[in-house]
Amino acid sequence: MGDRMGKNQKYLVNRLYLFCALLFLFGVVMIFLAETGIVQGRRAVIPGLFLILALFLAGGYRWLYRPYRMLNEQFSRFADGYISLEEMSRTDVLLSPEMERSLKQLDSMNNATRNLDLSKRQAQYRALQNQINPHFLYNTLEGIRSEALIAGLDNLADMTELLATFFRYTISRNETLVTLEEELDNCYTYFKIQQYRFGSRIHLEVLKDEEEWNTILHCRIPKLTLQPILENSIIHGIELKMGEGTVTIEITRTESRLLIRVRDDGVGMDHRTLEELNARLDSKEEEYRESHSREEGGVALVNVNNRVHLLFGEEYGMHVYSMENTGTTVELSIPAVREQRKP
Amino acid sequence: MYGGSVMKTEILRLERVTYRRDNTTILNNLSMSMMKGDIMGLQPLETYGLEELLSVLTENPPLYFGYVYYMEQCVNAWNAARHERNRISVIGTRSTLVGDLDILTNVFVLRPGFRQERISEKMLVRQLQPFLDDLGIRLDPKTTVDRLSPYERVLVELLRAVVAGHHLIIFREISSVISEEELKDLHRLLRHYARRGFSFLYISMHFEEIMQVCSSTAIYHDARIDMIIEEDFRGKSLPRSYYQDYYNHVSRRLRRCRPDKEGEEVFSAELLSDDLKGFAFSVREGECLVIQNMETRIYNRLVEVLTRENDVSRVRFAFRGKQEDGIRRRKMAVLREEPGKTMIFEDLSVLDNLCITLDHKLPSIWVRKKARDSVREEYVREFGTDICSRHTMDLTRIERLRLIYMRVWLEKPDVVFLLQPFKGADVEERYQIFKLQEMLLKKGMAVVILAVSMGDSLAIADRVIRLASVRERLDVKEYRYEDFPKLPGYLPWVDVYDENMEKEPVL
Repeated sequence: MGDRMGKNQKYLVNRLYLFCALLFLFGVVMIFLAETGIVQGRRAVIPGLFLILALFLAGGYRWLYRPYRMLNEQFSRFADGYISLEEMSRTDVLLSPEMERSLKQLDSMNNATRNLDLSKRQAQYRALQNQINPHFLYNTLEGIRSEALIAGLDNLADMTELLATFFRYTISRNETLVTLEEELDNCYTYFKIQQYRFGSRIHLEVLKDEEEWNTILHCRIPKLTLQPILENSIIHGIELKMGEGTVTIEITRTESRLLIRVRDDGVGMDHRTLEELNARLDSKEEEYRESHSREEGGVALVNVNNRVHLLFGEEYGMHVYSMENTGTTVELSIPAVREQRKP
Repeated sequence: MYGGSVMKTEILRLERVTYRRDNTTILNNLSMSMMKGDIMGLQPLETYGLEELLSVLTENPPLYFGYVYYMEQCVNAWNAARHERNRISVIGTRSTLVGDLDILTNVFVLRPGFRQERISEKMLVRQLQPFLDDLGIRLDPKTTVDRLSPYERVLVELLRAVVAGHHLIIFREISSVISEEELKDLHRLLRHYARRGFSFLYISMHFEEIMQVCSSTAIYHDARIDMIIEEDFRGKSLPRSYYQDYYNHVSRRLRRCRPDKEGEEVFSAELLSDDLKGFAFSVREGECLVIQNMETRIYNRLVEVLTRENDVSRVRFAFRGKQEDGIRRRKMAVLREEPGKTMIFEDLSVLDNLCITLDHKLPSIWVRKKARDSVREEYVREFGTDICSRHTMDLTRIERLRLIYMRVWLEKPDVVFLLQPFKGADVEERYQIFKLQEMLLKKGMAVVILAVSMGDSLAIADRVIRLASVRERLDVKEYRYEDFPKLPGYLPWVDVYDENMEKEPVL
């Protein structure tokens, strides 16, 4: 009974009905007392009535106005893209049962669209994987490598080997979480491939916390997290810069978190672009992300951030710091885990 | 937990903090983190939202979105506010100690969590002594706080934070109340405590100052952290893209305006009081003299002596060779620290504020509306906007500064004393103050800047006098324009003089 009562009070409209009914009852009692003349000559009654009225108003503030404001703020957060539809419908108070049903309906429609989109992308990915046929790809690359070695083209042979290693990690392995060591190895491979293009113009430094390094290397992070950030730093930071540039990867582990900072001393970005990029990283509007990501840069960062949010929750994620002509730092915060987690 | 090695502790993390007040977004998507033992700088390019940031750090107000972690614990989140204060101390330009009470009471007894009902002073003195020894200072624990010098006050506040076990201590613009020597000593103490696991957030308007002590610097811009500049990653100064206009303007001035050594000497002062005896200086028409005091005690004495009316026993003034009392004759104007806050009469209209010192020049100013209108037009001619129709309270910080400097400009005294003119000013305000000082100099006034922190004063200076106390005696060092590159390299703008000294002046 109490539970049902509590459930009914979840809706502001029910609270409003109850409040109006009590107010009406109070009015009727007041009129009755005034008509019958009971209050005449009894001084204590009037302060008592004022006290009851004050309690009514305080109750109205606590049970109606405050929850209404909270609900309003929640809507505002949703409209600004800070929270998802699912989070919004998880509030303690709602306007009416119809509104709750509508929100659930909207959420399920949204999920259906998202699932459809996800399965479409998954199907495309599988089709691509089948088309590529990894064994055929690796055999071909191995063939090119042998030909290059025979012809004395050592650079070409090394490059082909690196490319095969890169694809083996990217395409063939299906784990969600990998060790940081594997992810760093993939970064080195990618970097070496890029060095064939940029020569001595690009440098990579990994800052090691010697005491913790062994533990850090065994921490698990989502697969293909570091390489897209590194790629972003090279393509959008260093490539556009005159002269040499350095990308520094710094990894720190605290009691609860693994903090990965990838910084470059490239061209950086202006204040407005940075603001937009960080807003995109934190926005919950899937459509917004989709429509913008195809046209603008930073798709990789948004994807990595989405995966981190999905796997570990909203408290973790990515933030970008940047300054024009100084460089960019991408900071990724994820929980420090060693065991494989199921998403 | 993995293994037995010492793990790093994240002392502070702000994760995508968005803070709103009265439906206005103040902090927007702000993220930053600090590790245990870090001394991190924070340079605000403008002060908007800085108060709120400190409030988010210390008081945990309800957030619109985001998370705050202190000592790896979530202390505030948008969906679960706790509203308890964090154990973080803020040490700023104003004292937070109780002035009438002694050091011992401030440090121990007023501390939240102090539960003793019977206080044994002897025992508290014994407990305090190791902390004082650690700081390497000699202070009588029974001294009343009001009797402490500004630097001693800062040290006692630091001591209080350390004793209370506050792991994060925030210093806010501390160089505007303590001298360069004291600042160096404070930096030494910060490094010492950082090694012992305390973390410091060092807020300063000057990148050069931050660089002296911090291992990384967060650039605060538009109520967000734009960039964290690491020690190994930064150049000699703040990337110029953030203050390009200001830099260009100063560079142009340095190349164009060499000090006119032939100008008439308009003001001279000879100090007679015991502690400043023997110090005399003079200044020429259109010249800017900066008097930097290496000790706050000297600064306070100098300000007291120079700005006091008719104090012939301690100072002798001469205007264009004649000895007289400058303040009474309006030949001398004094702009106090943070004049936009301290020198505006909020109850008067903007126009009345502008005209308030013109009575000796135009005795009929309050009767003749035409005269007041011409003052208003003069302001519009100088700055291009009319602020006189607005309420004084609605003026922006920059408009307030313009109002005060324009008041002096209209008054046209022979000499203007500016007390720490760049104190508390962000980059945009500093640029404006620089231009306003230029305006006074162009009108032929002599400008004397009195400061403990050089700030941006070097950008406008034609001459610098540095005062220090060496073995109880006043040590005076004068630097002429051509000697500026010899000033310590960590002072703001010295590098620009270095660059410009090589080039030929553009006439």
